Amino acid sequence: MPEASNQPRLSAADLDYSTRLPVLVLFLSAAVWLVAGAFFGVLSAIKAHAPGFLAGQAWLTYGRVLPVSRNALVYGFALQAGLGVGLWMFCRLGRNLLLGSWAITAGAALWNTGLLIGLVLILAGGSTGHDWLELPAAASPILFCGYLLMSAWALITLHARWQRNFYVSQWFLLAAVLWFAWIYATAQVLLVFFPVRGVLQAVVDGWFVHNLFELCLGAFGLAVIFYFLPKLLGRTLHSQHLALFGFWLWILFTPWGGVRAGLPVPNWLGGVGDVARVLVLVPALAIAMSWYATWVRRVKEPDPLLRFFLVAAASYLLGLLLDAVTAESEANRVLLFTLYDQGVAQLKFHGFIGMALSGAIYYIAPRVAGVEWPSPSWIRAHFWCAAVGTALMVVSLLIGGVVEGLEMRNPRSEFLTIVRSLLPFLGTSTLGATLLLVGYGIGAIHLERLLSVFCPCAAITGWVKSATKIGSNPGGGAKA
Amino acid sequence: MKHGPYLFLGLFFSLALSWVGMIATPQLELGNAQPTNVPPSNVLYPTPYSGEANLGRDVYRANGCAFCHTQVVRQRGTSVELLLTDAGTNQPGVVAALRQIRPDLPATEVQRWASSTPSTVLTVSTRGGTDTAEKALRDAGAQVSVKVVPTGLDVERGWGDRLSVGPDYLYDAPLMLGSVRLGPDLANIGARQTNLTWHLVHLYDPKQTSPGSTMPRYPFLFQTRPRGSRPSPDALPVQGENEVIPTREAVALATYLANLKATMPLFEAPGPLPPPPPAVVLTNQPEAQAPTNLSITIPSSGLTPSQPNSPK
Repeated sequence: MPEASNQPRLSAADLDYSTRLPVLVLFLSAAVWLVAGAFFGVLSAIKAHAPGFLAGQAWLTYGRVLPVSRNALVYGFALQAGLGVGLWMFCRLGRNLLLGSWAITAGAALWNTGLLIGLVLILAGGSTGHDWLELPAAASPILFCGYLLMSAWALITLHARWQRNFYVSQWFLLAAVLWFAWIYATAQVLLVFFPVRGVLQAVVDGWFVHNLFELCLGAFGLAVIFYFLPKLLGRTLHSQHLALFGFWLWILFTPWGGVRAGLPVPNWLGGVGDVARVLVLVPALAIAMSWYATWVRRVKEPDPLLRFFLVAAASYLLGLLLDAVTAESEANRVLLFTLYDQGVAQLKFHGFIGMALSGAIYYIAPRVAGVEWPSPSWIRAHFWCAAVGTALMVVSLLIGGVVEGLEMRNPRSEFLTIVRSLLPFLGTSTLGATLLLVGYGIGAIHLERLLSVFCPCAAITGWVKSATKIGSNPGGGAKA
Repeated sequence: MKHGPYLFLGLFFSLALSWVGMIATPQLELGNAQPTNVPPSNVLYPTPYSGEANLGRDVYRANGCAFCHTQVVRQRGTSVELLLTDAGTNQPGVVAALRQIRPDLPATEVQRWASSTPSTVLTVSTRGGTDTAEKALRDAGAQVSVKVVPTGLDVERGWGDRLSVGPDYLYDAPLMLGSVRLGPDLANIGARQTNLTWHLVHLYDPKQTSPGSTMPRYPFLFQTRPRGSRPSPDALPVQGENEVIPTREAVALATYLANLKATMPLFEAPGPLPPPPPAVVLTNQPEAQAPTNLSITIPSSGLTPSQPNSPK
């Protein structure tokens, strides 16, 4: 371990500059996939209530457009943006320069190539058929190699930190980086390459999906909130010990919540899942208390970006509560297989992870690029579109789910009538999806305008070209 | 906290624990599941899907049918019904026994039961609850049987005779249980609708078979061509200028759907027994064409080597 006196004097701008190439590449590709995912999300939302819309083509059918949207959002946007934010935070919190910048960029290129191949194959009918794991066997190994390349250098950077004390965000980031490799490898091997038999596939997929959302993406989101909430409020985190307590209980309970009662799997699995989804409220309470105590004692006028993180924090806690409702057996009987679960998933994705990562990108990108946002009012527009869109979508799907579940309780009611009574809710959720697309579009174009200093012509298509320019543009007056 | 190794070990073991609990343990419990002989008729269950049905599952997977349809029947519990199958010769004795069993009902009602068998005499929640009544009726010379009836919303809706359990999915690769019901549950669609032509027309245009349906059309699974002087034997019975001929994928998908049924009563999922096969009576009459099952008359057009007039 190096002596403290040997520590080089690095300014925040130096640290930011070392992350410039990989972080901006990750952010830009994340933004492109976000818009693509939201676009396909609007298509599938329209198709859900207007079945005749673009129904003639095989590749545009609902069952292919929907997984493309989901995979673009999760693998394209959330994981890449999360990794980018994580790399930057590792450098800022560890007070050391990013290592393996080119290797990480190569990893991002592999990841994006694999994802593109996978999504095209899904449109061509190559989906694996497993929820949130639709990318076919031809694409997933490419993604996995890219991920290993990126995460290996992230871990090496973390290991080489000068500031040896860990901050809360680093715990969560380390968890997310390590766990994704594990759950993705497990799910790929046991579902795609050497599939287990029968209902065991549902168990493996349930475990993977729950851990993907709660452990990996959730950890990225929590790390972001724990970092930016105190920073933008101008004070330190209220109690590291409370956060530590919450963290350990969180990693203890969360991985067990993957299987719902009511599925044709061994009953004890559903029971364990119910218990875990209730118990996780304990660490969530500790985490919420730590946030709240930080928030009430704010010392300065908060940054306008703070609203992203407040919405994310509220969505996270609300999502856990809505999940815990399904641990009650009668509620689960009513809500299982309705739109309710989709509403909760949208809240977790757009309300929590999407908000947290967008806010982080808005803070990080100008500092790393060394330029100011061209039009700050666009940030406000993005926020309000995304917030209202998410709210519309989540509320309509949740209410639609409850309505469907309650109507299904009468076995004599015609099923088609029940489905038709859901159409207004699906229509409202389409409106929400459209607003989300507008908000994300504004954000992505804004990011492209910000990065146009590096590549004035075509920022999206020529990101390789922009990468070489970034490399030869030192200093750049990055602000702390 | 500066103890990186402790943090790493904590992260490792928390996930390892759940991996052992939720991946390895179920695998040890169920990974070796095999088809078994199911009493009373000792039929092997489950049996593998046919090649055609497996092809059909591929079409089901490729087009993401599971994003709207589940394949799970849930059940709340079971009730036990006592059936009077034959009142025998001692009608007054049977009626007296019935009146003792159901003092809450008027005499005319139980008399009607005794005269028109089979009739459900008693519905209770536990197996032992019918014992006294069963004995009283047998003593009166009647023949009775006890039936286990699954209860629950999915069962009452007619989506299945019993709950779905692990063995039903042993040969499902990939398994597509689905997570939301924007369309009906398909676990037993093959038992509800055996007619392949119905399935094909439904896939071509759902509104023709189910008016008001919100299911999209799948025209890309069909070939259309102008009606000529020699209509194709495979053409679907749909209106319009063009005749519609199912492709190999459409026929495979319809075959898969017609194969989806989990009706066999199992030890872990008791249900009504299937009716015994009809006794074979040899006659010289030609076999009647079953109006609901046209499966033998629909060859797959995709298997026909040449489709010269096809515009596709």
